[in-house]
Amino acid sequence: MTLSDSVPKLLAASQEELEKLLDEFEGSPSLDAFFDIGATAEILSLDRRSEETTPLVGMLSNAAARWLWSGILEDVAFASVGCVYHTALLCYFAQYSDKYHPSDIKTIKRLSEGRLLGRSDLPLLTQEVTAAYLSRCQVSATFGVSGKRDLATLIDKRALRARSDEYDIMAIIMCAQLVQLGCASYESRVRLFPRTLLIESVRSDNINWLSALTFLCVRMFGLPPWLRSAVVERAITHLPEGVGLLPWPQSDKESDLIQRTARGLRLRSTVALMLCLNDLENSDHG
Amino acid sequence: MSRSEFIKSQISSLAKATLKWLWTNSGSFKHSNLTGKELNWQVKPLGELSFMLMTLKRHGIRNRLTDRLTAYALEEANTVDWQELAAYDSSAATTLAVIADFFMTEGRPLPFERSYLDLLSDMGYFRGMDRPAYGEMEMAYSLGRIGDPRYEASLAAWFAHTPFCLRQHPARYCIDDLYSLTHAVYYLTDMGLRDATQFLDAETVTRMKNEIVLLTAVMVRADNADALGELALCWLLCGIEINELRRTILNQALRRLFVAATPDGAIAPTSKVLAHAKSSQSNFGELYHTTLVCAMLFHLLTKRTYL
Repeated sequence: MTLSDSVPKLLAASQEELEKLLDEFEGSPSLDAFFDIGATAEILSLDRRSEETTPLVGMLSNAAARWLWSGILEDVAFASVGCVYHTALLCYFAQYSDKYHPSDIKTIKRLSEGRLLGRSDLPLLTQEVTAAYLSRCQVSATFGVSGKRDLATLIDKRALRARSDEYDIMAIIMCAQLVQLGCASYESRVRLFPRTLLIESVRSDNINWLSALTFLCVRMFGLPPWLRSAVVERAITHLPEGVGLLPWPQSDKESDLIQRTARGLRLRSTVALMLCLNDLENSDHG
Repeated sequence: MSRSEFIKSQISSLAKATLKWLWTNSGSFKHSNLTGKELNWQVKPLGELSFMLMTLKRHGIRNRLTDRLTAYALEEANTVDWQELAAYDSSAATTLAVIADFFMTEGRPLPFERSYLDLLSDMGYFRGMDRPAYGEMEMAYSLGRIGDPRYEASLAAWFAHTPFCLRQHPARYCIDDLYSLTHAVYYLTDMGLRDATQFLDAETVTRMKNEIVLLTAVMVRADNADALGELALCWLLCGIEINELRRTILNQALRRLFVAATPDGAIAPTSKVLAHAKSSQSNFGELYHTTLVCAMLFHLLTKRTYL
C-alpha cells in the first residue's frame, strides 16, 4: 500500500465530517462549530484548488454563500470579536459558490465601512489577515494595514521560546495566508519555526500538529529531505485503516487564546495530511 | 458638607483605605514557584503592584504604607527566577522591564542579570510574538523606560493600530478595546509625566480626550469599576480640561467607584464581587487589580487640584 492509497479514504472521512459539521452549524449555530469549520477553512484556503479538495471547497463555499445571504455570518461576526477572522475567510470562500451574488456581501461591507467590524483589539496578525480577506471580497478594510511587516522575525523568533501551543500553528497558517494573498513579500517567508515545531511534533508523536505542519512545509515553507522520512514514518503509523479521521493525539497542546475543539482539529489535520500525501510519496520515491 | 467636599473627603479616605487593604493582603502578592502558565500568572500581581508603587513615587507620593509595600515588593521580587520566566515566554518582556524599572527607581540592583534581558532583546526574542497593538505599546514603553530606545520610538506607530486610531465606532467598544485605549494613554503620557503631543498631533490628542470622556459616561452606567477606574485615571494622565458637563461625568464616575468600596477598603470590580466581599466570599484575585487602579487614582487626585 502506498501513501496515496489512503487519500480516497481520508477524503471520504473528511467529506462526511465536514458535511455533518456544516449541517449542525446551519441547524443550530454555535461558536464551537463555527471555529471547527474555520479551522478546516484555514487549510483549504492554502490549497490551490487541487482535485482532492474540490468537493470540500464546494461544500464549504456553498454553505458560506448561504450563510452570507441569510445573515448568519454577519450575526456571528457582530456577536463576538473573535469571530471576525473566520467570518472574513468564509466570505472569501462564499465567492466561489454558484449561489453567491455580489450583493450578498453588502451588509458585511456596510459594517466594515461603518467602523462596526474588524477594528477591535486583536493580535496584529489576525487584524492583517482579516483585512486581507475582506479586501478580496471587495470590502474596503482600512484596518490591518501595518505594511509589510517582517514576518520572518515575528514567526521564526517564536522558536526561541520554551513553550508552544495551538496558537503557534494558527500564527504560521496566518503567515502562510498573507504570503499566498500577496500581502507579504516572498523574501519574508519563514523557515525556522515551522520546521522546529514539525520536529517537535515528530518527537512527541503529535499527529495533529504533524499533519498541519507537514502540509504547511510542503506547500509553503519547505520540507527538507532529512526531515521527510521521519514525517512519513510517523504519518503512516497514524493513518486509519478504514474510513476515518486521524486520531486525537494524547500529547496535544491547547491554547486558551483560541477556541477550537478536538473535532475541528482532527478534521483540519486529516484534510491537511490528505493534501500532502501525494507530495510526500512522490518526493520519497524521487 | 457640600457635594465637592464630600467627594474630596471620600477620595482622601479611600486613598488610605485602598493602600491599607493592599498592605493587609500583601502576602497574596507572593509569587508561586509553580511552572508553566501558573508562573506567569502568579507574578502578574507583583508586577502590577510594583508598577503602581513606582508611579506614585514618580509623582512624589510616598507615605508609611507605600514604603512598607515597596520594601515588601522588592524583597518578594528578589525571590523570583526572572530568567526562567523570560525563557518561558516572550510575553515576560514587559514584566521584566517593569521590575527592572521599579528596582532602578528605588536605586536597587536588579533581581536578574540586565545583560540577559539585553541579550533576549538583541536576538529579537521579544519580537517573536503576535500581540495586540497596545501590547506592543506596553512592551515598547516598558523597555524604553529602562533605557532601550529602540522600542519607544515605535509607540505612535503601534498606537495607530489600536481600536481608537482605527476609529472603532463607540457603540462597538468592548472591554478589551477600552483597556487598549486606557493603556495607550498610560504609555503615551508616561503615566501623566509627559504630554501626549510628544507622539501625537494635537487633533488626535483632542479626539482621544473626547473619547475618554464619552467612554467614561458610558461606563458610569455599566457594572465595571475596573474599567471605569482606568478611564478616570486617564482624565488625570492626559489632562482633560474640565467644564461643567465633564465635571458632572467625572463626579458620577467617582461616586460609582465609592459605592464599589468593600468594608475593608478594597474596590470591587462588579456588584456581584462586592456582594461576595460583603459576605467575606470574595478572593484576592477578584479584588486586587481594581484596588490597585483606584489606589493610584485616589492618590493622584489628592495630590492635584483637579475637581
